[in-house]
Amino acid sequence: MRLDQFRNFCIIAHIDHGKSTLADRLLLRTGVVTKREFRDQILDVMDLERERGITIKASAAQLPHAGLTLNLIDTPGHVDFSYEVSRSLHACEGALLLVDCAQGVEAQTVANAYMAVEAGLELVPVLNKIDLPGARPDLALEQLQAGLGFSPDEVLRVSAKTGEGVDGVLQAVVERIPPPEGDPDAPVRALLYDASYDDYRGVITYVRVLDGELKKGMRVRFLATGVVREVQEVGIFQPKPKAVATLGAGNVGYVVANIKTLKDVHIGDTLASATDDAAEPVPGFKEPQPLVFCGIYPASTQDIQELRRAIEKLHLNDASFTFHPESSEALGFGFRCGFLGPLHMEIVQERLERESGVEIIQTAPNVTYEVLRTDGQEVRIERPSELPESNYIEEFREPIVRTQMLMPPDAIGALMTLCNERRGKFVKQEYLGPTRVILTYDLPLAEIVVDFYDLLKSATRGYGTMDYELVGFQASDLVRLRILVSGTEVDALSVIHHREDAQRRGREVIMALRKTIPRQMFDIALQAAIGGKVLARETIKALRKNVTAKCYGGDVSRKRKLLEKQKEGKKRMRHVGNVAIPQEAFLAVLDRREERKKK
Amino acid sequence: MTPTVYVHIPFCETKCPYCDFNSFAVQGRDVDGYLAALSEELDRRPPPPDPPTLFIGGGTPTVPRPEQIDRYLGDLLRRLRPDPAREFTVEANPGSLTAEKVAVLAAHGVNRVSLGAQSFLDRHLKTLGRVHSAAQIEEAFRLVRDGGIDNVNLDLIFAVPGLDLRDWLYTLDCAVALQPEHLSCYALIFEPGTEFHARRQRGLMHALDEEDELRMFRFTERRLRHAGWQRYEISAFARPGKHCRHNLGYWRNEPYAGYGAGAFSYLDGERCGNERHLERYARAVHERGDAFVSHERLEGSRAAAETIFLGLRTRYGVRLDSVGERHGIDAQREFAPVVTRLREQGLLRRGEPLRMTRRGWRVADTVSSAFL
Ligand SMILES: Nc1nc2c(ncn2[C@@H]2O[C@H](COP(=O)(O)OP(=O)(O)OP(=O)(O)O)[C@@H](O)[C@H]2O)c(=O)[nH]1
Ligand code: SF4
Ligand SMILES: [Mg+2]
Repeated sequence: MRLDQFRNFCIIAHIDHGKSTLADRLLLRTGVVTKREFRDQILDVMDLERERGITIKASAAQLPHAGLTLNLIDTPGHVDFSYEVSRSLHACEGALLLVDCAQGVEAQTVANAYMAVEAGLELVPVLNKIDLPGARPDLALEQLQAGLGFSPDEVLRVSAKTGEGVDGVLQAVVERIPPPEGDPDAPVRALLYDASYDDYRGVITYVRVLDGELKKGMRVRFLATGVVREVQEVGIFQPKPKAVATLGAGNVGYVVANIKTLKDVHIGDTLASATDDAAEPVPGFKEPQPLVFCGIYPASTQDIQELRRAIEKLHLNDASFTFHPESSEALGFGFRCGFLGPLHMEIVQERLERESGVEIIQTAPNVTYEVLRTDGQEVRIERPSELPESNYIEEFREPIVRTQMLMPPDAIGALMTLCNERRGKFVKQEYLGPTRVILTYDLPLAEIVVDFYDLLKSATRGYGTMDYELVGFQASDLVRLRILVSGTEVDALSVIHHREDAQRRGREVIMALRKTIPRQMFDIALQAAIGGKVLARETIKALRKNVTAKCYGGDVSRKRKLLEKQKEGKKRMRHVGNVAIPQEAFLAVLDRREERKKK
Repeated sequence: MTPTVYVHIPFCETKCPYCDFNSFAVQGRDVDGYLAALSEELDRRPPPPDPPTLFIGGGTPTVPRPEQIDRYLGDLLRRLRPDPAREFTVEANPGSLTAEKVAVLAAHGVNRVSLGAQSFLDRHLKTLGRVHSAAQIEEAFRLVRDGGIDNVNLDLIFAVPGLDLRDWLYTLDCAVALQPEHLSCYALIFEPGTEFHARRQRGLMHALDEEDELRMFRFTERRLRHAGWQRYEISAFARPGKHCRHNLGYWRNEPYAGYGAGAFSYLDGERCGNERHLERYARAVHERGDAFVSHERLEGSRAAAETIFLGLRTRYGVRLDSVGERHGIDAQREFAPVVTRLREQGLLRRGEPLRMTRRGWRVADTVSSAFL
């Protein structure tokens, strides 16, 4: 096939602007799926994607159209999965930038558009959901113009739902998106832009062929890892994998090459012929690093093996989260896991629980820290207990993210207050027309992992959106906030915090514990401390009375069951010294709703 | 062991707002129809002819008319061998009790009456939604005594919202002055499904402060001990030899046969509950010969734990060796860690039988649940 027969494009947008729905429409229109096979958001195949109605993993499909071959990649909209978008961009020459015209331009619209332009892609702006009664295409258009510099006549208008305007989209893909460049006759080179794991066939690598062609039986080398393998199968997505004889330059598809685990592949790596010693790697891209960490423990200690199996299995499918065993005095054996962001953390946890049936206790999340020790050594800290004693710390640094928040102008005041409270540093403020403002702040990542997004939503009455990217590490006055129960530090509850905030946070944690730890036969002292200095304390008074007055023939069973329930609750508690701490206590520490109510 | 017999009469003058028993205001109810179903149940599921004790409870068994009381007592006793020495208790409420009704009870050999007194302060009787006055308690008490029934219990409730220690001691003093053989003192419980519970949920009513309640609990024991009553179960106080044998059977986890709507039976190690709804109960008895809607059989250590939890409620406690023997487990070994821990916490006394300390009684549920 000739290179000019291909058009490779992805669909990018803010969450829920209709990427997957537009992909559906294109699949139907080009006859790749029939009406009978069709279901909404057909490319969202994971259970969790279907339940939550969001895309988590990018997926591809090949569409025949007007004698050409169009390769489409549907991408996720959520900020935690922006690495999926960035990988996908490398397989494409163009992108459809979708904007829900009832919502207008939002944070990921801007972030993804910048990313695509940086990757050298041709952007085709598309206003979606024009069928909606609340649609304001004029406003969205203005924002696209003011914020991203598009001219009105290049913007398409569609309804992914009704199909209106979809032919225009296909036409624009053909006419405006350039065909790939490359040399079909040169030795093979392909960019590995994604991978997934299949129980039967092992790792399936997703590739964009740049030069030459890939076919079954040939030996290939992965340049970064040096691994050499025989190609067992090449294929395309329709949208289910379908084996083909060859995958030529310019095309997008998959390769199965007897790779057992995702650990053995590097996304961004280059595939070349095993015999081609001169092969140069194509400029790839960096794998995202986990930025948010938390401990994950089984609610009942005997489930640890189950949990391990589930984590290992999930890791095969999602190599972007990291894990290694850890143990905590209070929680026993578990794992310290790293995630790309808070939604990623939530999703991994939900998948683990669902797929293993093991109930999970999660410890308070923390970000990665850098510590410069007095001996000049630099260390990365993934959990509060790894922190050296304060007299060995020369400098304590935390990750800073540049955060872009888009909102209606009347929310600026509230948002600035929020950012200032969260130790933010103002960077700039730009208008996308009169109805949208982009506010940019540098914020400590730690300040936004737990609840920032919810707060932003409520400060902007639901209209605000955000996007962020890591800009680096910065020295900060951080301390380890220790939580002590009856004089014993509970490692799983201790957190790293900014000094100014530690007092308030300490109070919150102590109050949350007081509410969730049931009274026991003795007084329980709760303390929050930095080093030896106690910032907050509370006492849970000893249980004085717990007795059912009546118990006769008729109530024996009922009373016994009530008591059994009390006991059942107790079994699931964790012991610190002689104090039993229920699982809710560990979760309550994460819950900052109380604090919000006060405001 | 021969089971004791319990008969449930589910009618009351009005429904008290704190009560979660299977009881209904009698107004508009088909009492005769219910008694017929009860009689049929006794026919089709005959009670043991020589039960060690009989207990008619409710509801208020003395709310039906005298001839109705006469009928159900006759229906029951017809099926048993006479035994004048057997403890035979009927629950009654001041207000609905008359000399005529007491005479009917006495004529059938009833030798113990349990009176729902609750309080000797009209103000608290009102809070509790009771339809009788303090004066009527004393009248009812006299009627029982005059009718020749010489074993009387008074039920009293403390920890009522608005009640302070002085009020409670006043009620206790009034009760003591009547010289009953037995006193049951209950802390008010906000049971789910009751009106009180709903009111508390809505914030219209508040439980008494725990410390106040605890003080009342402690003072009760002191006051009654000095006056000659012995606490032999968490809520039960008796003059020497006057403990309630029927209730002790429950706390020893011994068998019983229950009749009537919502009554429970515990026979051959199986606990079965009757249908609570009156018409459905009658229909079930008629159609199937019994009205059981729940069945439960515990084995091994769960059964043993239940025996322990019940037995610990009494001052006699439980012997682990006999519990083990009864349920076919090595109870000594099985429960050794729990026992050790509870002893260390000062909740169980040392030595056999296992008995709670005074501190243990205050937190009896915590102690019991450790065994479950
Ligand atoms: N009325 C109307 N609704 C649409 C249109 N396109 C998409 N939707 C609806 O918008 C919602 C989100 O659509 P998706 O296609 O899942 O959005 P997405 O951009 O893929 O979302 P993420 O993958 O989570 O970022 C769904 O309920 C769709 O039915 C449209 O043109 N008109
Ligand atoms: S009289 Fe007794 S059984 Fe009847 S409703 Fe009142 S408390 Fe309940
Ligand atoms: Mg989607």
